[in-house]
Amino acid sequence: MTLREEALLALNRWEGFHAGMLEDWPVGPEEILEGDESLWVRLGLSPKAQEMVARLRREGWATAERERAERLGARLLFWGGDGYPPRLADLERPPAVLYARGKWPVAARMDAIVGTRRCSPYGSRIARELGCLLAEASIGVLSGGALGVDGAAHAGALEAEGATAAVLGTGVDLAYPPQHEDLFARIRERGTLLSEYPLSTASRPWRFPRRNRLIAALADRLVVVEAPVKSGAIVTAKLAMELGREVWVVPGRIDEWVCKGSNALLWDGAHPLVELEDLARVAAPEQATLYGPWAEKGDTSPLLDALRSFGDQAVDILASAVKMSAADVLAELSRLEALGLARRTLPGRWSAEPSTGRKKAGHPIL
Amino acid sequence: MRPVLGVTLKGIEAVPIEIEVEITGGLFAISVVGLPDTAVKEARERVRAALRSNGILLRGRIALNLAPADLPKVGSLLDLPMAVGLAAESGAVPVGKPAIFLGELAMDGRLRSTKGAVAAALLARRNGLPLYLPPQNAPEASLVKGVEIYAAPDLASLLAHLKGERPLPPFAEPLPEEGEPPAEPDLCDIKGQAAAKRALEIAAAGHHNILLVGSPGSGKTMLARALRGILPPLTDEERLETMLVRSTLGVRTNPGRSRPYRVVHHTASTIALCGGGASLKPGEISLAHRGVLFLDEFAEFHRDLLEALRQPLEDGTITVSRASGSVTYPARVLLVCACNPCPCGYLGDPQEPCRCAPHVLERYRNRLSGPILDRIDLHVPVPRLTPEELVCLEGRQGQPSAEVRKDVLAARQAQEERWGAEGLHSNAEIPERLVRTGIRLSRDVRPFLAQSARNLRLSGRGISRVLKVARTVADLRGNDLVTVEDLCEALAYRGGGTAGDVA
Repeated sequence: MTLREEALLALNRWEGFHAGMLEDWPVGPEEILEGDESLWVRLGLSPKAQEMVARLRREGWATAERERAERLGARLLFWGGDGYPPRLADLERPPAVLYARGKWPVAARMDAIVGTRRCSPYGSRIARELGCLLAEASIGVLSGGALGVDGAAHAGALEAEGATAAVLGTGVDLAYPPQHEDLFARIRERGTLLSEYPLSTASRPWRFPRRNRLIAALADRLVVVEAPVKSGAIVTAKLAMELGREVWVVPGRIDEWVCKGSNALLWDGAHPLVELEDLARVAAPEQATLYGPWAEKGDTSPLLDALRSFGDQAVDILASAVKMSAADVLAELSRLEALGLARRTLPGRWSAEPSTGRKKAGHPIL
Repeated sequence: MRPVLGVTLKGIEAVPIEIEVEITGGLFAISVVGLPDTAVKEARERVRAALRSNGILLRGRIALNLAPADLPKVGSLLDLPMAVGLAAESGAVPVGKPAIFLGELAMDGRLRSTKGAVAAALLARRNGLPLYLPPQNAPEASLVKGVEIYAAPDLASLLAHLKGERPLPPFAEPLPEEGEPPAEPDLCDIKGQAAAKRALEIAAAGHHNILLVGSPGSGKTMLARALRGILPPLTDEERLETMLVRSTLGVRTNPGRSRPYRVVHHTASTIALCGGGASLKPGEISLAHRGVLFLDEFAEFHRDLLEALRQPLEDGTITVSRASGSVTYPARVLLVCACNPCPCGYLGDPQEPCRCAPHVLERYRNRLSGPILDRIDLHVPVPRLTPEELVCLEGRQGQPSAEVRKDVLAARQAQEERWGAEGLHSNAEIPERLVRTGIRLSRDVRPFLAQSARNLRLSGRGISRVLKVARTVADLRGNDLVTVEDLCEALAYRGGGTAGDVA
């Protein structure tokens, strides 16, 4: 590790620091680390920051951190160095160092799928489907590793044996949320965990919005699945629009609070995603023929038609629509479920399976 | 054997107690030996007063021994045999052939009702002895066929009978046959929820345990109550089993044919639910034997309480062991559980957003999943219908409970015929070894089952559960072999769609 890299690593520990500062400063990072108080005062470092830099230098923290990263198998990507994603240069405050645990680079191009942690089963399902579709089109799936939409998107990509990257708001050695420990292990195998935070940085509320800017910058395109008005996903989407990334939105029901923010993005000029396949088709036109429309599935029945007219229907309503007994409706629904044509969505409610001509995955995860 | 016998209860079993009396000269005193509890010790005052009111004055030193001497005697049911023993020893009545006496005495000689009448009648039948008891207990005792039962309203008529002056007629009143149990609420009064109603029908027909999951106000509790109205009546044998437990506790009920329905609150203790205590009483699960045990707000129950239910759900009996001994009670219940899909109750609700944080949901899910859920065959989501949907269903009338009950009864009879030789009453009791061999499938079922098991990721236990439910569905539809359609319907009630899987 060069002196410059060591200095960047140490400065990165100070959360107020970003690579943009280097442009404004007359001296390089190594000189800042080696400098004395008079230099720091001249550069405008706060007393707290000065104290921290002095402490990191005294403790030889950067060397120790590098060893920790090596032991963990995490690769360090330095600003201006090898492997550092050039897209991040679009940011006003790009990170000086990225920790990549897993395969790097993940894919030639990456699309981000973001949304609320508290998504509906529908949102979770769609995120998973999108993850699958993008992975099959050899596009990397980028997301935040959180519960809900993020987790489903990663899981979908992994299911289709594609590449996926999670940009974390903690150190890459931690699993937050803890429920995703397994998921992260799988992501490390096929993709990567990314973070700008030093190892063992714990989760704090302010760290997640900050990492959102990385998702916005790294992605070629950004798909918002479900997001309330005040949410990280909306922040990410706005930022992505400012950075000139293509933003797509899965239209949601207009009376559901989890969809308010994402639907509002449509008004702001995002592309509505009306067919799941659109994303993959636009990215890789030669694959478009793989996915046929609904009608190609030969199986029809009055019940299936009733299900396809709209989603989330209770058994009572279906029974009265097709004039069958509840017992027969249940039997038929189960048969359709076993054939991958229908699925339980909300408790006691059923929807038709959108057909993409692919084998269907099991239960959505939260 | 001494002619005068009483009984004391050990669990649901009556143990014969011989009453030995010795009267010698001296100042008046009565002592009772043979490990009497306080109620038995105090009996001497009731007995003395009752005999005195019948003109029998006791004199001298009186010793009463209750044999076997090392068995603790409990309760007031030994009053009558002690009184008869004293009357015989003092020469007021002749010593006749041996008989079992049972009853509590009032000071004026009237007989009061007591517990353990059914157990005593079983003992009397085993030993071929006549049984004397208070008239209030005669109907329940008469459930045991082939016992000579005499209902004596008071000590005077009993003594007159023993002397041969005014013989009592043997109790032979027919039990009042009650009509159909009232369906409260009737299934057709519940709006919508056709899937849940059908699941209740299956539960009632095959004695399958059932879990209802739904938001507050979706009607879980009302559905659970409606189950009462569609359960088949108790058979003679089952009625005797349920009365045996009830009479052991002294619960005053008429020996009817409606099945027990016990509601347990989540603050109940393990002893209240499973039985125990110093006197090894039966718990709610035994009182609900051959009937319904309803656990509302299932997720609020303590984990160890639910763990304690595991073994009885598997075996149909519960063995209560304490320092004072060990007793086995029957506990073949239909477990009905109801719970919310999440702590706030609105997970997956179309109208109200769920306000639970993800980690709260995770904890709730962990609490719900567990070995007890494995023993519940039917998992039923109860969706809260939107006002529009309710309007849409206006005017559609479901099947009334009485009709459903007829179907259930027919399905039960089919099961009795099939499994009677194995000693089973319902499809839910089918042991693992019989699931694969005893449930006959039509030819196309097996490949379909294999395919669904793969697609739906069913476990081995999950497959047996689905097969048992499919057997019941086939019985309800009158199919001899289980068809693909039956299997499909059974698949609709498997674990998916409940709290653990939704969202």
